[in-house]
Amino acid sequence: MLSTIIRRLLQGFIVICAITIITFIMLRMIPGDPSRTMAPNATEDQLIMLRDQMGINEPILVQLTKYIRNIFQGEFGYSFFQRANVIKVIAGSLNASIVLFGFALVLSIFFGLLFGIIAALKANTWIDKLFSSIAVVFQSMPNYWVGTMLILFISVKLQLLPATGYEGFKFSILPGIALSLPTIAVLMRNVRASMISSLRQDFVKAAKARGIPGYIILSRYAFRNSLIPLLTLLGSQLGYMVGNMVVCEYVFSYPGIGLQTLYAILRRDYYLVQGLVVILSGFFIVVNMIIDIGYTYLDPRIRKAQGGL
Amino acid sequence: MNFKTKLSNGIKYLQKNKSFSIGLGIVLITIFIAIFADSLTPHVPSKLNPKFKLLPPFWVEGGNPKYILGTDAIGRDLLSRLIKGIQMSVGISLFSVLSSILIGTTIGVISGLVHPSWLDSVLMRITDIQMGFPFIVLAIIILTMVDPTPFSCIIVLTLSAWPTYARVIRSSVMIEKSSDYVDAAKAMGASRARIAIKYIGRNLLPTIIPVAPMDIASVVITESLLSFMQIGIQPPLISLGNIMSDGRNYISTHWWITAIPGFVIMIIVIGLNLVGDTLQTTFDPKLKQ
Repeated sequence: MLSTIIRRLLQGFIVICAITIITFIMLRMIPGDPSRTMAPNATEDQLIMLRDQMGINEPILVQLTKYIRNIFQGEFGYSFFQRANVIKVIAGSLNASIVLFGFALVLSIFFGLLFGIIAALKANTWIDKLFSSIAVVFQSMPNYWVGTMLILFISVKLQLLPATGYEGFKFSILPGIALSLPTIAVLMRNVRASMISSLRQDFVKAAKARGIPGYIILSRYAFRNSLIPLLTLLGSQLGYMVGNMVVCEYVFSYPGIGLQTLYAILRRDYYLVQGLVVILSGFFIVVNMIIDIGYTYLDPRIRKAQGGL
Repeated sequence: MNFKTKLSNGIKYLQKNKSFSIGLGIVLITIFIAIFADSLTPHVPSKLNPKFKLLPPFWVEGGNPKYILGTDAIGRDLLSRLIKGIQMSVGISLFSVLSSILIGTTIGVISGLVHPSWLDSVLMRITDIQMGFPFIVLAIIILTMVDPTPFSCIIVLTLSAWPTYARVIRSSVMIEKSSDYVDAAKAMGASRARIAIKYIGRNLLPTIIPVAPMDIASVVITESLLSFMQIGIQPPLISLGNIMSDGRNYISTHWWITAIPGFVIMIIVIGLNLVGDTLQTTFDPKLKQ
């Protein structure tokens, strides 16, 4: 068990290092550098001075070694444009993103489970068919289009909720809904499928025969058995959601780390992009790692199989 | 079995599987539009018509039946642009998925065949890196690095899709490799190449086919997203995404420019998902119940 965890941690570490290096090199291959965006009217001499100050005149490999050395000293560099430590800039916009992501996640899990269980209990009735069709539609709508339509109907026509910016939870509701719809659909369909197969298992039938009340069968027997596949699914969904969050923040001009990333790339704010990429990919990798380790722990069959390998 | 009975069996199957026939219908219509786009457009898609700027669709008050879905801010016919946009989006998505299947399959097969070895570990770490890289960030970096042409869009979209195939194929190859009939073939002295092609190769298609339609669906959405964010297909080329991004500035007064292309994407994706669903249940006996 311990060796699995160590191996996974090591793998995750290697992946993050590789992503950092790839980003570093690719960013510097983008034509145009930050000095020009910062001082559009500067003369060539002034630009060279500015580049020297920013430390982007040296060869890429030298810059890279310096950057990595600094990271090990806990120094992630400065944002050229916001003139502040990268960690501070990221921390400043992380709050809005966490609220958005958390809200979307709560919506997804709650409605995904609720609709999935209802559809499974009413399998092959019109309720099930209605829910399943809605799920297909939710899954097929482009996220950014849903966002734009929500702005049109809820913010512009009905004027119920604000469309852009972030000054409190009210501003997270529309982007949160847009972000959660595809995940609700995917979760619902999978909860439905795994609940239906759980409900057919012998131990559920046996429990019914013993006269155990329905809700206990549902929660203790069928649902628990469906939990492991759902956990894996949630892992991959969280990855998609991080990507979609960037998109939703763009559509709603929501000042979180996604929007921050977009601007940082367009302005060639090298170190800020670097820090943001580590945060975004690190989140994805850590979540998948936890889920991998988690289900090895939860499912005795996998635990055995891994010991046997 | 002659052709007639095959046909009638096929029709019976379609009647029984309503969602599959709806999906297949949508997919076929989309392919038809993509192939014959140039002869289907009622107007020249790039032609400006200052007299008819921002016309609404014909069913809305003030609409002109000559411009069925209305016009955009500089008077270009929306229906014609949609048709060309469908052609572009479908073309790019198909090429992207084909090339990801090619790359993913190659890497998956190699990785599965040589497992366990250092080569397998290296290939799988590369797959991990690709999957761990936030796609949208990678796409923006690459598309600002090179010119955003259809070709570079295909490359970016391929990068996002191949790891899934590599993983799925690798595990299917590993399962086949340890199966009894491959052991039997080995015992009879079949060469490695023969086993790879004859026994393992024939199991690749059932692994790929059910995944492909849903993958095309998600690539259609991603492609339109890139163009919507103005980093994908650039004007004067038309894609469903950049029609919407044109309309974004007029969203509060002229909703149709943004609403209709998104709706079209949704319908295409629903079609692909319905087809994919059915293929998945057909190819996976566990889901058949």
